[in-house]
Amino acid sequence: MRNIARYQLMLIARSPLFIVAVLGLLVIVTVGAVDRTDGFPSAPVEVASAAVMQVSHIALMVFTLLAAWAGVGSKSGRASEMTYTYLHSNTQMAIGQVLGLTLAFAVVQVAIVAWGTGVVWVGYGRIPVDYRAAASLCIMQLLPAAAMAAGLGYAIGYLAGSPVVAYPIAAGLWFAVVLGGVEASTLPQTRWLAVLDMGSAHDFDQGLTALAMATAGFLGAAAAAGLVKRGREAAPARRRMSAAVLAVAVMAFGLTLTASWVLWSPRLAISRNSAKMVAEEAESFLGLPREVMGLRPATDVRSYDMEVHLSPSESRLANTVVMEVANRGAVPLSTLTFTLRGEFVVARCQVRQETWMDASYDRRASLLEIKLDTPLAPGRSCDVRLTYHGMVCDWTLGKFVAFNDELNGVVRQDRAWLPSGLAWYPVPGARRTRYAVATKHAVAKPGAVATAGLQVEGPVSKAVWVENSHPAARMRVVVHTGMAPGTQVDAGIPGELISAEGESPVYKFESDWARDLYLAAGAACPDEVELPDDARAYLERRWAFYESLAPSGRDMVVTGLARRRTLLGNPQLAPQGMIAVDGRLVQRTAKRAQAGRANAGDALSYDRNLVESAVLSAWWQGGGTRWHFMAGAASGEVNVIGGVLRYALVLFLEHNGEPDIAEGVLEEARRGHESGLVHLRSMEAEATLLLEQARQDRGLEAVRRVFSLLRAGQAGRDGVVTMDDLRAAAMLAVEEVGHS
Amino acid sequence: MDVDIADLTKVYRPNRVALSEVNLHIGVGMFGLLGPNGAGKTTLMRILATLLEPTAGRVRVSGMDLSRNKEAVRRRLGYLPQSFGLYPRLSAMETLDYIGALKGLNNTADRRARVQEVLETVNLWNDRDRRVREFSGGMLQRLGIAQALLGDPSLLVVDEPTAGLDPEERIRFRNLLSMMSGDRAVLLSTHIVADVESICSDMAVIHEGRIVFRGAPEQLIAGARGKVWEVRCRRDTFERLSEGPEVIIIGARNAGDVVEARVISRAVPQLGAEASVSQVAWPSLEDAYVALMGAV
Repeated sequence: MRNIARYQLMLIARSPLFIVAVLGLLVIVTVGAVDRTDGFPSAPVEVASAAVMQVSHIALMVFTLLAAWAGVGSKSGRASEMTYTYLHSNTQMAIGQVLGLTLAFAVVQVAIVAWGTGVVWVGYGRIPVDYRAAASLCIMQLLPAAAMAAGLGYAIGYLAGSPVVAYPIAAGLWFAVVLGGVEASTLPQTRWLAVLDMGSAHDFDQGLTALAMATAGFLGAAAAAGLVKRGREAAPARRRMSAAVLAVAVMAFGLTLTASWVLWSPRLAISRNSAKMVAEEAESFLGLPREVMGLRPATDVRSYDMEVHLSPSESRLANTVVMEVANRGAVPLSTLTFTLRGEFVVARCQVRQETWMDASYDRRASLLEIKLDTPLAPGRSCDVRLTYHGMVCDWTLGKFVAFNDELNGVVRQDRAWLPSGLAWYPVPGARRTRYAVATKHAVAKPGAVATAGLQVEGPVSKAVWVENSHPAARMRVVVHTGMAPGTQVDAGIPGELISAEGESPVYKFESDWARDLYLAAGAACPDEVELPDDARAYLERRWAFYESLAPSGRDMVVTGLARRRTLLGNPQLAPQGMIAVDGRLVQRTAKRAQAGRANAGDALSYDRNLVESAVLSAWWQGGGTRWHFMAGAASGEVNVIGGVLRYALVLFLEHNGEPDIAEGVLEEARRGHESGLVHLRSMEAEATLLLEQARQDRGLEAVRRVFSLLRAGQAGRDGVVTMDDLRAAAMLAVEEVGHS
Repeated sequence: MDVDIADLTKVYRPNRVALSEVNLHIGVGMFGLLGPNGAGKTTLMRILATLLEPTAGRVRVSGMDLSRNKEAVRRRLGYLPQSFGLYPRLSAMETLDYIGALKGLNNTADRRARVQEVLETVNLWNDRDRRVREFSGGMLQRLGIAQALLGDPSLLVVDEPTAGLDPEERIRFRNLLSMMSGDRAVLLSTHIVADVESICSDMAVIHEGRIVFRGAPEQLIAGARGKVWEVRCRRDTFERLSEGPEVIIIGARNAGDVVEARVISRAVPQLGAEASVSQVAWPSLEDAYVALMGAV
């Protein structure tokens, strides 16, 4: 079998078709990798894997067709006539040839990853390579996919025996797997089948996905061995063997799918439960007065002191939180309003105005209303102690395209992340669930990040659990991870390990400003860079304008994304006032602006957008969210901050005497709004046009007011602006401007 | 090593009889199976090569029933089909090494040694590193026989191996076959009479699925003795002769106004006084084969 594999590898490697295919893939990956080096420096493997994954489906199709070609050649053709008189068994031949094909495809995949990584490594200034990530990509995704393509393609070719029949079937199977995988991943009932598609399932259950693809390849080889040309098997023992191999393959594949089903069934149940909870929550929020809603809630939290106990194996969380709660409204508060995920059961609630007293409360879905015996006067504060527990699984299958880690943070055995998206600790005000918040912020940082008492090995992922918090609140959190002693915990953000050796890890996170905890994770503290005068002037001009639009009160610090340094962090997560830019890009953009060569197209062009994003994300901090592409089913679920920021660009252009370009940007929005080809774009365009409409109706002051409201409210904290938020802010702004 | 074929019948659907109650015994040495195209030679070869199941009858190879002992027969078998393909992008050495592995030569050193041996036998050792696609037709056939020899078979089945080869290559190839036949049974299927005549000590003629002759070539020749004639006559006389029944023209050559020809006829050809007719004392195998097939 080893020799059969070796010679199959040799044969395919010498095939002109194969060589042409490999060169084609290399070219596409090179273009993709080079294209990506225009952006902010990222880990080479991360960028390369993005480029590789972009062509992964094409590669799979090519490999499947090549394997089908090999299968056809093995069964038909003149070679087979005498080959059948040899002594090898069908099983040896099929498995050997599939192994050879798998090896060939795997070598190509690994070479493409290595090449792409090298290209990015050179292009980005030799940022260290994370070999573990590269190995994981190859072993968990690309190699199993190669095995699947080899096995299934070979089986098709061997069973069909004719290229005329085999190629359409192979191409059809490819379409079915690719399109079916996408469909399967979006439908809750079929999500368990997505393990067969590398593209749609790779974020989750990688081991199972790898196993499913490998067993699919094995099944193909076994089918070729067991179903075709059984008559040539000379000995009954060999026939029995091929039948046994086929049975084992069917069983292995079936067990893998069963495992996937078993894995996903409870998730499906959780998903349905989550969806039910959301519906209840929407109902409970109906008719709530505006002053308790998230935009400007009167209930304000100045500090949190939490003792969190996680139980990863049960996906449960128990917490006792002590909060200093203030009334920032204009009238006394007799009810403190919080949002706390509806699945949590509140065990006890106490309030201290003079002394600690048990307090009554109402729970409706995620709404928590605590009754005060004595109304809290404006500007005054009291202490609230709340004890609660519950499950922390968030799954809304079929609702999102992306299923990211933080959604099931505690579900995973090896993670101690806390969930996002739903308030796992009391968040002031009534805040509707904002699913758009759920996004991945894995910023790969090779090597170890040393902080006080905590050594985080490997990629550091941005914490997501403070994104819903009040940014100004002082925060002290002790997390009992509930994990086995000695477990290497990826806590998401740097904290202090306070447990003794041999105990379950316990971490303490403490900061005067909640967001500081978050920002510390990125260690986004690069030196201030020297920018050419024209570039700096350009940035300062922008910064000054945006500050005048909705002030943050902070000074601008420009940091450079040095090409020869390790990754500096996600610019969208930089502290307020800190702009991380590529100096050369800024300079180029500034020169073009100065030369008067900019037009509407340039205004939307990549480099200009880059600067725009950098400035605006520093001005309006994205927090735990980036305006990523997430399809939402309703306007309340799509983050349209991009559209809001785009309108800031329009204002900036007008302010700088470029009304034509500004009009071009607006025209772009109008076109995007009308075409609606891409849902998100359409929603963003709608946001831009809503602001334009507000200006048409009430003038620039109304728009300024909208920006200020958004920045001061919930949106300013987590960087998510839904259309509902925007409409509410616009309504409030129009009222306020009207009154004034 | 001997092959015993008894009442072998093969019927293809729909009711096309390829072999009909064939009985043959083949022993060590060169055995020629002669027959026209479509006579059933290849069907018989494929049955012997374990690739086809007979409809009826039995084949025993060294006493073993072929249908029940394919594995054992394959261990003794070397097969060169009429038309075969090799991987054009492999070298001769790689090709044989791969085939050797498929034939169960698992020990790498032994396999390499055997590959060298057969390549030297077929005189391709100096071309061992050349890709197969660069080989001429004759070299391909020699490589084909090399693969058949890899397992040191005691039964070598060779189907139409010299078709398409130039005379020099054909001679070289059949000499090679002859050399192979020392201690093994070599079954050569062909429609080229000269191949059998040159190297086979035993033979059969198959026609429309039936064995119509079985014996030594000399016996077939003896059967034709007295039926082969050389004539020299005028052209018009020769044309009358060729149109007549019971006469088969083997060859004719124009020599001015006259024609010199070799014909097969049971009786003395009647050509008139001006023509000369002489009986051929030693007919060739081809003469005998043609006489047999023409039922003269």
